[in-house]
Formats: sequence, C-alpha cells, structure tokens
Amino acid sequence: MRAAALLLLAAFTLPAHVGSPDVFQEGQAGPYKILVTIRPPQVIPGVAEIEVRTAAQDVREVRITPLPLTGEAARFAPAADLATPSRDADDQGAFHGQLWMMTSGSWQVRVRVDGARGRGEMSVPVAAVARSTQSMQTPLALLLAVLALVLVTGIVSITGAAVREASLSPGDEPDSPRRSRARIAMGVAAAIVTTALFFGNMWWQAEARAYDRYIYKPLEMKPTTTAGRLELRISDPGWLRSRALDDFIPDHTHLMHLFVVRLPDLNAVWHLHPRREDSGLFVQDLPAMPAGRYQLYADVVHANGLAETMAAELELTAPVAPGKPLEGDDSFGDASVPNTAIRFASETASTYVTRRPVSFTFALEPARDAGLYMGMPGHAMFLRKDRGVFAHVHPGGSVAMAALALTREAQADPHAMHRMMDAAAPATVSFPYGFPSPGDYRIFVQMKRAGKVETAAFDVTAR
Amino acid sequence: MAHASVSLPLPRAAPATTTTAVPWYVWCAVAANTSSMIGVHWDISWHRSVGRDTFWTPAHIAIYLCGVLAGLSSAHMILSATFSAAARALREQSVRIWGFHGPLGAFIMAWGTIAMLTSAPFDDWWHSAYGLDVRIISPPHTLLALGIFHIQLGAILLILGRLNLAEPGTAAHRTLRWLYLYMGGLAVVNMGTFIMEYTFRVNMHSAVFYLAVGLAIPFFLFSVAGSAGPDPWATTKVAAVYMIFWQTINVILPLFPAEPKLGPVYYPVTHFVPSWFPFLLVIPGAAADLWLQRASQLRAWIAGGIAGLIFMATFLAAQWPFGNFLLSPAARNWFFYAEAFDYRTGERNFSRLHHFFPWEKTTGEFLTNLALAFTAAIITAALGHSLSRWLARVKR
Repeated sequence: MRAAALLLLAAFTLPAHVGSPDVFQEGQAGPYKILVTIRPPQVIPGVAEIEVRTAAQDVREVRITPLPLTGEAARFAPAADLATPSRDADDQGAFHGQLWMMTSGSWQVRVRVDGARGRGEMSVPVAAVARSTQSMQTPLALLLAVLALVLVTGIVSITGAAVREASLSPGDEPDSPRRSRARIAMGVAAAIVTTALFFGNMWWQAEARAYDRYIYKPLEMKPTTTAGRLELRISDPGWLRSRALDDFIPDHTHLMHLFVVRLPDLNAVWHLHPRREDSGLFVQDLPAMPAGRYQLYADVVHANGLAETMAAELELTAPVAPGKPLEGDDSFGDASVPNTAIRFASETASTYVTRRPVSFTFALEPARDAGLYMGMPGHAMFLRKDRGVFAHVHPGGSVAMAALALTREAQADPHAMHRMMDAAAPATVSFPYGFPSPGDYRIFVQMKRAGKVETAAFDVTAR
Repeated sequence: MAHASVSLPLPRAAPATTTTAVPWYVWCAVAANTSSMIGVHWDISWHRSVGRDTFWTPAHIAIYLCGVLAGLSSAHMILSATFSAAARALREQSVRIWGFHGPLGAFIMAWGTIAMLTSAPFDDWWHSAYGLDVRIISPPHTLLALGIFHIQLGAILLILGRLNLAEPGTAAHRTLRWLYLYMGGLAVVNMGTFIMEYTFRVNMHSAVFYLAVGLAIPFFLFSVAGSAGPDPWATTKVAAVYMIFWQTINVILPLFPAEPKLGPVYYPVTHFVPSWFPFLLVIPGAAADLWLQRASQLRAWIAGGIAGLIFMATFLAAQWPFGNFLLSPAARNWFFYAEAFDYRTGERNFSRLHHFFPWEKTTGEFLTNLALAFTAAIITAALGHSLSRWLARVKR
C-alpha cells in the first residue's frame, strides 16, 4: 500500500484541553465524595473560582488552598481559605471560593473537608496559564485622560509658581525677571513631563509586549504521512522557557493519546497511541483510513503535571489500505450508524447550560461483561462541532490521570491506580463535565465489553 | 504670568510676615506622611508574609489615610487662602496657580493626592489586564509612588515656608525645625524603600548596593539638612530619623503573626517579615557634618560635592564590614533579624544560605559600579546642597 499524503496544519491557540479551561474532578476527600470545579483566571497572576459540591449532609466546612503540583514549593501549602456555602436553593451542597494563581504552570488546588465523619483531603491539578489581555474601556480611558491632563498641566503650573513666588516675602509681588524665569521654568518642566510621558508610554508598551509573550501558546504539532506512517513533529512556539519536548510522562501507560476525527461529518473517530521515536517526534502506523480530511487532537502530560492538547488538521490525499490492524489500546468508532451497545443513561436535557457541571452517565446495554479500558470504566471526548472545543474526560473528571498521580494523596497511596485497574468494571459510567461555551457538541463515549472497545456518539446542545 | 483670581478682595493691612504657632494643617501633613511610610513598609511586609491582599488591608488604609489627610489639609489651605477673608495671613504666604491661592506645599500635596487617586483605577485595570504585579515597579505603582513622593515634597516645602517665617528661638521655630528634620528623615526612608530591590543584605559586597544608595540618598539628605537653619549636626539628625523610623517598624512588625495566603510557598512564614536593617547613615552623616561645618565659605556645589565624596567613602567603610556581621550568626536575632525571609525565599537563595550575592561578575564591573557610586554620590550631594540654598529662602 502506498498512501501518499499531504497535509496542512493549523494549530489552534487555545489551552489544554482545547477551548475548555475549566476543570471538573470528582473524588473522595476522606469519607466525603466531592465534585470540584476550578475555573482558572484569564490572567496570571489572577483569581481562580473554586466550587466544591457534595451530596453529603454532614459536611461542616470546606477549605481550599493553591500550591504548585511539583517542586520545592509543593511541600508548603499557603493558609487555606474557607469556602462559602452556597445560598442558592438550586445549588445546595455547594461551597464557593476564590484563589490566587500566582505563576504560570502546573498547580493543584487542595480541598480539605471537615464534617461529622472527620477530615478528608483531595487535590485537583490545574493548569494556570495566561490566556488574554483586557483592553481599556472607553469611560475609564476618558477618566484617566482627564486626570492625566490635570496632573500634567498642574505640575507645569506648580513649577512656574515655585520659581515666580516661592521665595518672595509675604505680601510682595513678583517682578518681571521672576515672571520671565518662571516662564522658562514652565517650558523646561513641560519638556521634562513630555519626555517622561514618552518614555512612560514606551515602558507601558514594553510591559504589554512582555505580557503577550507570556500568554499561553500550546505546543505545535505538524503531521506528515508516508506509506501509511504518520509522523507528528512537535515544536515549541515559545512560551515558558522551562517547557520541554522530551519530558512527557505516561498517562494510562501511554505518552500520547491521539484522537483522529474524520471531517467534516465527525462520523468516525480513532483513539490511537503514537510511540515516541525521538525528542519531539511521535509516530503511528495508521490503520485503514479513507482519503480525506481529519482533525487531530493529541494529549500529552509534562513531568510537572502540565497537560497539553495539540490540535492539527491532516489531509490524506489517498486512502490508507489495508493499514495496520488496530492493536493494544487503539480503537475505532463509526458514528455514522447508531451503536446500541452504549445508552445515554443520565436524565438528558434538550439543551445544557454552559459552565454548569453535569454528570453525564452512560451504560452498557445489556449490562454485562464490562471491562476496563486503559484502567478506566470509560473514556469520553466532548467535541464542539466547529472543533473549537475538545476535552478528553475520564469518570473522575477532566484532569489527566498522570497529573492526578502527582498529587500528595495519590503518592500517599501508590496502589490506588492499580486497584482501579484491577477492580471489576461497572457497566455504568459517569463523566463530570461542563460545556465551556454555547454550541452543538458531539460526545464520543468509549467503554469495553468482553475485550472489545465500543464507541458511541451522542449529540447535545449547550446554550 | 497674569492670573485671573477668583478670590475675595483682601482688606488692606500690614502683611503677616511671621509664624507664631505651628498650624494644624502642618501637623496634618506630617501625619499624612508618617502614615504613608508606615503603610508602605507594612504593605511590603504584607506582600512578603501574607502575599494576598485586598483593597481594605490595614496597610492599604494607612496609605489611603495619607491621601485623605493630605487632600483635606491642602484643600483647606487652598480654599481658605482663596475664598476666606479671615485667612489673610495664609494668603499673604501663598503662591497663585489657576486663580487659586495657597502655600506652594499645599498645591504640591494636592497634586500628589490627585496622582494617588488616578493610580487607583489605573492599577485596578492593570491587574485585570496583566494580572497581579509580579514586580513592585509598574506604571500605575510608579504613579502612586509619585503621588506619595509629592505629598512628602509638599509637606517639606509647607513646613519650610513656615519655618523660614518663624522667629528663631521661639517654640514654633524649634518645633518646625524638628518637624522639618523629621520630614527629611521620612524622605530618606522613602528613597531607601525605592531602592530596596538593590539593597538586600546579600548585596552589601556588590558595588550596585552603593550605586543605588549614591543615586537615591544624598540629594534628599543634603538638601533638607542644608536648609534646616544653622544646625551643625543636621545631616546626622536626618540620618538618625531615618534609621530610628526604619528600625522601629522592623522591630514591631515581627511581633504580629502572619502566614502566607498565596503560593508558591518556599519558606514557612509565621510572623510579619521585616525588611533589612537600616543603612548605617549616621556615620557618613556625621562625617559630612564635620566637613560642612568647615565649608560654609565654599561655593555650595563644591562643598556639597566634597560632602558627597566623604559620605560615600565613610558609608562604604562602615557598611561593608557591617555586611559581614549581618550575614553572621550573631545577627540572627530580633534586633538585626537576619533570619527573616519572605515566603518566596527558596532554600538555595543567597539570603537563606547567608552568602553574598556576586552582582558584578568581574572585577572590572565591580570597579565601574563603584566609580559610578562615588560619582553619583558626589553629583547628587552637590545638587542637594545647592538646592538647600534655594530652599532656605522659601517663604510661601
């Protein structure tokens, strides 16, 4: 088989996942089951909104604190803040708080829950990245302009008055030479102020440019194919100097999770696991695929727990045939025909409210022979149909498992992951997630039954 | 320049030419500046100990209080001198700006108040656009610092005008002179604060430390000391005010508990963190005074320039070995607080290691910066001492 291919690629400049910065994570804080939502700030340093929800009736107090996920400072947590219980009747059991994220990078929010059954803690990794700058609103700009005018003319006038009258004895009037000197002094002051404003403006622009460089730029991924072999070349467009291309850690035993979605109908999805061939180079022998355009999303996790999703578009000018048969954890789903093996089990809404966390529940039908897929009862991909939003979510939530494993609680119990992998798989699985923005979404759900990965697609709308 | 006046006509009378008592607005201006310097140091400690703040932290309130007191006193002076026939004496001792009358210091304080007010919405927007300041020196913070600085400058000129009109030997004169020296000390505190990022303990064997001091300190030290009337030890007194004020704050702050409310935390802070021990300015101050006592016949810029040279030489001789002491175990106590670190100080930081930081990487760089430090001290002292001659004539 020879599949020649050419591709073009555009990387979307959106943070990981893609266009879905909010974090939703469910877990146990000691005896209490909680759902944590973290809404990271737009600017860094900036304020993250934290929501902790629990169905437990005996929770007395929830405290939250931010700290880096790894490194020296991960040993010392700042004083924890008290989260405030929600007064909203529709949001009972919710606690709200705000936390400062001071530096870009990989952070965690530690949640401490106190209640009748004692104390429990849970940490949730979160990426703190600057995403935008805010322009100045016109009324504020006008106000500042007026005040600036007063200050500039004021200091010039004060200089004139100082030279003209300050050393006069009480009651004396300034003579003509003093007035002349005052006029000269005012001219000099005006020149100095103008120069200061000029350099001040240069300084402001330099600060703004420095901040622009600080805004998150995802890793770029350039796909090429030769004879059915896909090469993904990763490059750093420049962001934090500490970001590396060779420090990825396994997430569910794989360094990369690659999702390939056929365009434009989104009716076929491949979940592949390219192998690392060199620093910044991953390769994948493609399965059989028709010619056409494909959207690629590649999830990786850095050693410090920072998860990134690279996006690119691939165009196959010729089909890959017969291709390499799927093996290991690689899977394929055809959404052009309904898959009755997986049922949307939660109460479905015709439309979902954006940013509100929802537990999306799916069940195998019939409910037997369930198995774990890469250690998980299921995987879900939330994809906005215009491809501007993509999130790879697990039953625990939207946090990469590799990042979760770096938290203190996970390290304190190194066998937790093994137990999860060894446990009998349930036939029902829930994914906590909130749509970040309005639009039509497709949810791909993957569950395993009798050794076979089932993939089903469900369409929903968020407003 | 012609001015349109909006004031009431004054009754003809002999001009009020002397200050017989210290007016309340002078005390108000002094209180404003004391409040701002306490607030600024408290706020810096807050950011090094707690990290996170709100609009209403006590440190911020102390800074706002400066703006409020300065705004009230300057508004009172300007409005009274302009519109009140009863404030004839004040009007006689006023300058005119935009048709308003008032002491020069009052207008400068009013300018500082407006600059502080302007910095508030500017800073708020700056945070929302670019995040919380990682660095202290940002454009809106510079505007705030300019505001605080002008309130200080205004208070200095306000006191000076009253001092120069007071009868020597009177209680008012003595009080005003001490207030003037005190304000000079606060000006040095302010400048010492401005160069804090260059004057860590661990920089005391780097020439950049002395360059920062040479640029920031002598101008204010010598301009105030030289205009405080005939006082052979004026420079020493201003330096002593600086040291006592700075040290008092640093001894009091650690008495109160504090813990970091921001990450990343590299050092577990338990109490408010002081800055560092004040510069030993009384030593170069006294040396400069000994020189200036003998230099009254010289031109101001020559006397001042030589005072600057003496200042830097004696400062270097005193501060360099003192740096060794501050990094030794003997300084790790409540009085020298050499073991106070902010929560962001990592375990490999030079301060934690009690090692000098080699700012200059080569001997050439070191000698260049040292030469610049001496040059800066000579020039700023010459300028300050020359300005003091003009300041000694300020009456309004």
